[in-house]
Amino acid sequence: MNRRNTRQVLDQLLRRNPIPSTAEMQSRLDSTWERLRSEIENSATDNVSISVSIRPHWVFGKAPWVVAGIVLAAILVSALVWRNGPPFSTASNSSTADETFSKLSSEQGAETLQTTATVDAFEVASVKLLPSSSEAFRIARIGEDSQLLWLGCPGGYTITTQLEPGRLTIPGATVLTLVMLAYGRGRDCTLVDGGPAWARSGEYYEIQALFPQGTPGETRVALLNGEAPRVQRMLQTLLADRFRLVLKREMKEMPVYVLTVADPGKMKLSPEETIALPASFLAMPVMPLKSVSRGVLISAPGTHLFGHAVPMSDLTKQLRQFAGRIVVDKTGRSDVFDVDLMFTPNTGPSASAAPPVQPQSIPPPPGAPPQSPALQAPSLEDALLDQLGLKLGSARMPIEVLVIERVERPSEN
Amino acid sequence: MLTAVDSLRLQQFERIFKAHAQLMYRTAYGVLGTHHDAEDVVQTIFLRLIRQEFPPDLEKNPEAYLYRAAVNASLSTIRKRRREVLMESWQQFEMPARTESGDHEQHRRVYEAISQLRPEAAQIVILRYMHSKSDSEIARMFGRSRGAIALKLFRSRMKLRKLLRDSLGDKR
Repeated sequence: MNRRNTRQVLDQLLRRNPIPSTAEMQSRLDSTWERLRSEIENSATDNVSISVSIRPHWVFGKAPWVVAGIVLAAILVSALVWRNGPPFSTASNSSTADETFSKLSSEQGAETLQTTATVDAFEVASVKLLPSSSEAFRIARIGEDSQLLWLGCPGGYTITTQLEPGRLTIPGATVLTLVMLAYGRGRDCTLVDGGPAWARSGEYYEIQALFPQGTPGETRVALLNGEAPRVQRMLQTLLADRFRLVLKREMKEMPVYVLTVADPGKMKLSPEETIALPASFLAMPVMPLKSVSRGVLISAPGTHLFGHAVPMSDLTKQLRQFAGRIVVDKTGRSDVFDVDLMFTPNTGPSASAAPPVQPQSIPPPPGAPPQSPALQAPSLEDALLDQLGLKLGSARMPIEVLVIERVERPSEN
Repeated sequence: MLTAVDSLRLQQFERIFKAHAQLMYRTAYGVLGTHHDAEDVVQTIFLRLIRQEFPPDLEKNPEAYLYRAAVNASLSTIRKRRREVLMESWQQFEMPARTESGDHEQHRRVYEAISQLRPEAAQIVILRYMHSKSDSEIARMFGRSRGAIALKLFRSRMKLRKLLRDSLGDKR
């Protein structure tokens, strides 16, 4: 194909974009504006505190010397204040303003609490036990089995969760999974302990919930990452009301893997902007990439991790999926490096508080490479040591876990 | 009850929303392809603005600021989604039924490639091809010369050609 033709095809591809229907777009924008309007009205009285809470984050991230300056200034001001007596105590000319200020502050405090109390529950919520013959039950079961295989315990299958403006839908989740979602435990079910067998596995509930009007939107990704506090609090309320859930926090000594550097010379970083994917990835029919750019770490199902300029935190998170235990980063490395790791994962149920669940046969994911190379690949520990110079050592460490103290099957809707 | 300052703020937001939300929505919809995602992008950007002070760039040129924010948020969604799909590749079979037609697949590839361009280059490409803006219009919006925009577009096309070599049937 000649240059001119290629350009024409590229132009055509770039111009082929979906166009929203005007009516649908307008109706959605109208409802978005209504939500935003009530958010503005709700936040109207606490704008000042919000802007103050955002700025320090920026300051702390960007310039440590500014922080030092602020701390020094705070010390000086405190010293002056205590030398001259408590602030605003005697000056009659400022008392009116100060009284107004403190009155406003206390009113705001009460309002915030009240608002929190009303906003932190769904407007309407339906909780339904899924019949074992339903399609949603089958999908939830497969998800649970994959969690069990990869993480060693069955909860945390949240991938089907849908969060739309005004509505949350969880098509099928165990109580364990709901707890993990509500309390921001990601997909790591080892961080939630206790509870009866039915609450941990095999009984799935469909949750459909509507948010009260004016609830600010949160994204699905934020919810799955445990960064959607309002939705999480609503879920916590739902669990407490409908499932009579009682939890406690506890430090529990758990078997973990500790990742340390054994041979720093093996960690390399290519200066290129992108690096080509190895053949095992390219062989996958659904692979949309030929190369990976900086910061991307991808995995072929259970056999190969490949990434360019990734931080240790990303690698540690990924290793958790294959190690069967929490991986604690003790490398002290804050830089980025390339990863090309072929290994056999430590799959299979590990020792956990979860009752044993027999995994169903899981269909191989589309494009999964043949299993034979994985069988020849070294163990995860050996691969890390040989290929990246990282040592994965066993240890026991106290980790904070949530313990289900009490839970009941839910009340009728 | 709202104070005078709060009412003013509300009016200010309403004016900005009514004037620019459509462009943001159309942009996000063009990139992401669903109403839900487009709505999410618009809402997320405005929520962020509500929770902070107005950035100076927004006051200077709201159209450019909000358009850029919409492109960046949409492309960031694509990047996250790609990472999510790839990192959880063994779970692909569990993803909600997304039977992708050839067109949808092609569109996804194009925007994954665009998401690898520098932010400004991506914004310019989308303005040109999705919104059919001329070099001069883009130049005005970005406060650049027409020549600079033309050069950026040329370079972006070259990069996209490389990234989309297979889709274009370019064997070289």
